[in-house]
Amino acid sequence: MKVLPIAKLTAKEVLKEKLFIGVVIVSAIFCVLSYYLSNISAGNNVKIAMDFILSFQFFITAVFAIFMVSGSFHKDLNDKVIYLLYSKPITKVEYLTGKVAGFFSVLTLLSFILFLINTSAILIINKISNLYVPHIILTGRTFIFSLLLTFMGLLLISVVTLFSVSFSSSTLAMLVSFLVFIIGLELSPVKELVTASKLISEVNKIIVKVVTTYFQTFLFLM
Amino acid sequence: MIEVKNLKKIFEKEKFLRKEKITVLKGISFKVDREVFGFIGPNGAGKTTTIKIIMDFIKPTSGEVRVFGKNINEVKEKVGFLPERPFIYSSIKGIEYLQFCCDVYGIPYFERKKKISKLLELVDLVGAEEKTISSYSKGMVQRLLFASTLINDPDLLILDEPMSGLDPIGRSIIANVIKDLKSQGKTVFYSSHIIQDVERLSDRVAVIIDGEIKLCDSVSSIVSKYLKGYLITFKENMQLKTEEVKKDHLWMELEKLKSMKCEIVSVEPLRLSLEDIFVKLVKGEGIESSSNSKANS
Repeated sequence: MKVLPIAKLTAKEVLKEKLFIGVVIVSAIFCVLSYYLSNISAGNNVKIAMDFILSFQFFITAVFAIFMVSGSFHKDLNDKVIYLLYSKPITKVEYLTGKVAGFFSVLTLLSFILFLINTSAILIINKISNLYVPHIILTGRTFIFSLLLTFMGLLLISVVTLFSVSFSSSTLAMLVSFLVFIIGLELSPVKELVTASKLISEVNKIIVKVVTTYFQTFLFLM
Repeated sequence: MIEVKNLKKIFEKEKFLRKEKITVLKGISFKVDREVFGFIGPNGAGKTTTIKIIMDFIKPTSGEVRVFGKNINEVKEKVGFLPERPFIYSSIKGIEYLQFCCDVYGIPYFERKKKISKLLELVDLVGAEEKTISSYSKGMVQRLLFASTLINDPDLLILDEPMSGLDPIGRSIIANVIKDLKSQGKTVFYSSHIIQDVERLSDRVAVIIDGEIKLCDSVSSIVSKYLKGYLITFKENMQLKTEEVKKDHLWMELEKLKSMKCEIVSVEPLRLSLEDIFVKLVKGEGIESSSNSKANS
């Protein structure tokens, strides 16, 4: 199996790109900003700062996953790297599996780095604010959130991979992926409406149920 | 090694509510044995399309390609390939790409270091392997990827324009490697625009124009086939003179000079270079072969 070499090459390629380093730097900056944002808001400073930080992590992870995958496939196809890889004893399935595995490993690493940055920032804000919130609750919440984000990232990677290999334009693949992502976030009220309505056929109800099951992770995060 | 039989390729291009058919290959056939085979032709003649079909990147409309008597996907372990305008991720280091190739071919760790340093030496990239590919020049990328095609010690090398974009030193490095492979009994099939290199390196050449093979023969027989005549240099009354004669009249002329007690200094064949033959074929001009050539005397 040639999956591992492809996954390693993909991970090395993405990790050294400006996008990965940029996302980490922007997240760190946002953690600092969230302290000032929480100070000008009324209510529990720690909770507000935490909500800001986690919401931003959710957004930035989704953006990173979409850009990373479509950018990498676009480069492979447009710059003909694909010819170089296919000329070796690598099958199409091995190539795609390797790519997805490489993307997922990078996303897992990103989630871990963001978890460390965010948790440190939240614990520091907790200390400065002089509000007692047990550390285990803060760390636990950021950890579970990071795990869920990693899983959401995997779903997004698979969706963007599918669109990137189906569409010739990377912009179109990115747009459709964003749309699917947004639809995934808004499925909860749709499911409630569809299951309650008597006008909708059983077939359509099943389709909606299948789709909402697939996008369950997005709904968890809402 | 490579057997191409009646290969046809038609591309369909969408043009406002209708499809336009473009015939790129019109049923070409050739065979490559254990040799260095040059594939030449002008831009858009179908060289890269042929190579893509041989590598199974695109499917032919009709026809068949066999490599080592099999489908290429079954024998990729024995094949090295360099695409036209090669590109690889610029954020990685040269050594990381070579390590990737070693991973793909399952080369054991203890053999890698020796193999990689030998290849880097071969393409004159020693010391550059630890730098990121973004800092490489175009020629360096080409040489790195050329080195990577040799990592599995292939029996067959397929190179699409391996010398384009290279400086004379880079060209000479690649040419030397091709010569070296030839001496090892490997097969090299390559396309090129640089006819002098093809003439210098190839055992046989095929000329493709407008999707058709116009000429396929050994370089020596093509060049001798298009022999115009001979240039005789001789001394007459202590003066050095030259005379061009037709191929058929050579011996007659030599006898005449002998009878005139002239000293013959040299007899040189007057022939068209492969480049002249290629240009004439591309322009659609007829080429006079040696049998009906007219020498200027």
